[in-house]
Amino acid sequence: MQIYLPIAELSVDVLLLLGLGAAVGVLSGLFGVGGGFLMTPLLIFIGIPPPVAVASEANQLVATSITGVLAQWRRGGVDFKMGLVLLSGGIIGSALGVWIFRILRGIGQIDLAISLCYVVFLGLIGTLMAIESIRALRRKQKGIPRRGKLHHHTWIHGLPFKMRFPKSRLYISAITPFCIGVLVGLLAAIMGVGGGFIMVPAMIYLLGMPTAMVAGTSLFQILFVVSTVTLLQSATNQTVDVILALLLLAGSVVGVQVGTRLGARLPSEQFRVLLAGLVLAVCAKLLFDLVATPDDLFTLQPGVR
Amino acid sequence: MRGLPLILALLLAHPAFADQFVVDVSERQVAITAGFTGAELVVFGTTAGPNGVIILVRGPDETAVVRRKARIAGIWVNRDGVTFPEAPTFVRLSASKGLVAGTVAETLATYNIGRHLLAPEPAAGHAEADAFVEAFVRRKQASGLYPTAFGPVNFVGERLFRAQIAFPANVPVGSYRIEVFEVLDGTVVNATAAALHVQKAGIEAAIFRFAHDFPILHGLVAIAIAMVAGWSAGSVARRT
Repeated sequence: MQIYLPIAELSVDVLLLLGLGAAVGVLSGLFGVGGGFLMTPLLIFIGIPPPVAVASEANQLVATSITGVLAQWRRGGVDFKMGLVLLSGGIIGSALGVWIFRILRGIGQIDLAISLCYVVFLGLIGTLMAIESIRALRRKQKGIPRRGKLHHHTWIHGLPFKMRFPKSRLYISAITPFCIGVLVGLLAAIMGVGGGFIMVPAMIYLLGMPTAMVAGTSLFQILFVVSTVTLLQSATNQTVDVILALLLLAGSVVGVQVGTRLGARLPSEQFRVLLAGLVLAVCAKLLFDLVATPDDLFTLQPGVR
Repeated sequence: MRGLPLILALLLAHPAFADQFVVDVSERQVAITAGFTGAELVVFGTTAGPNGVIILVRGPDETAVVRRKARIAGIWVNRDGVTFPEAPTFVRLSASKGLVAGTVAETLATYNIGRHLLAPEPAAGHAEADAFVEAFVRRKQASGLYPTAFGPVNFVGERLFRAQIAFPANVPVGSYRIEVFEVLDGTVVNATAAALHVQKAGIEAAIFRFAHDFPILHGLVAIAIAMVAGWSAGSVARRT
């Protein structure tokens, strides 16, 4: 069944969108990732214009992250003070990102910028995940216990504007979480991702936050950043397709439940290797499209204002 | 549409139309709704004499940019571009038998009609503008918005004609102009035009207008809808 997407201005199969939402939702449920970094490229593969894919995926992530934040909040897993510092950076970053997005779109380089960002970040994350999960598998096979994390004292701890974060039991400079927030906001606006895949490792390794606080606090920041991105994209670029976002959401709601239940039963280490493989495959496809000689060197951008 | 031949026959029989060039179209509006997969238009009429007919359908003009990629550090990057300030978004051509000579552009030039229709005027400033004009038409043809050839105009008898014109699912919205020419011995002897509106209808139209007329409010509503959807999904999941 075809449906006409009012902002993307094309007809797409409803079942395809529901299926995509469900498939990415299952992965989200399995691995506890937001899924934006897979959904946006997949939308571009099926022919949604990249600016619409990025903005609509941010809109869908509002829904996904509010579900997560509410669940974590009930468990007491949200450090609101840290979240607000991250968020203040995030709002500046996303405003900057939407502005850059508009300029790049005007000079015809936005598709390239989106693809390049994805190739770099998917390549990075995929490789790190693959190494990490293969190590975890080996450790499990050999029965070596996981090495405890060492607390390194680096230059990051010497920065000024120190702040107390009682919930995370930290006394660190506010500059670090602020900068992390800016970076994540930028990525959210340009790539249509929540940025959890950058923020979670940054919170653990750079800020030294307790793991129990990481998921909830990052979701709190993501909720507001993707909301900001949705608002700004709608206001400056008119690229938010609510129908597209809702169809993806409907699929992912079901998918996440299936994924969460599967995750409890399946060996997660093996599946992490699979996820890493999938991330690297998407990265390779995007890279191939950038490097391979296109059929036509000319492209047409209609409707320039 | 089944009544069409009858109407035409009556028209033809009526003394007032005995040797006039009369043209009409089956629709004045095409509505794009949620399930839109394309539409068909019939252009019909009578010619003044036993002559040929050419029909041009032209979509609304828009500004478009054609960009050319070049390899920079192994990656294909958009390098230079040419702007087309007033290029038709959509073109369809139909001609009766025997009128087409050579390529589409040559035929149009022969009758001196449809200037810039399949070769839009580029903004000045690029040395290789011709390559960009060609690319513009090629990309438009690839997306099905420009024709690669003339469609048929069928005659019933000597003076009664009809032509079917197909609009694809990706037809642009706006005001369309349908021009019909009667041709005798390589020259246009009669010409007339009709208008057609292609517009989004129903919920799609409302959403599109809302997003463009009230972008900030639209963004807030989009966030609110997503929040409610996410919250309700969460509470349903918690209960089960």
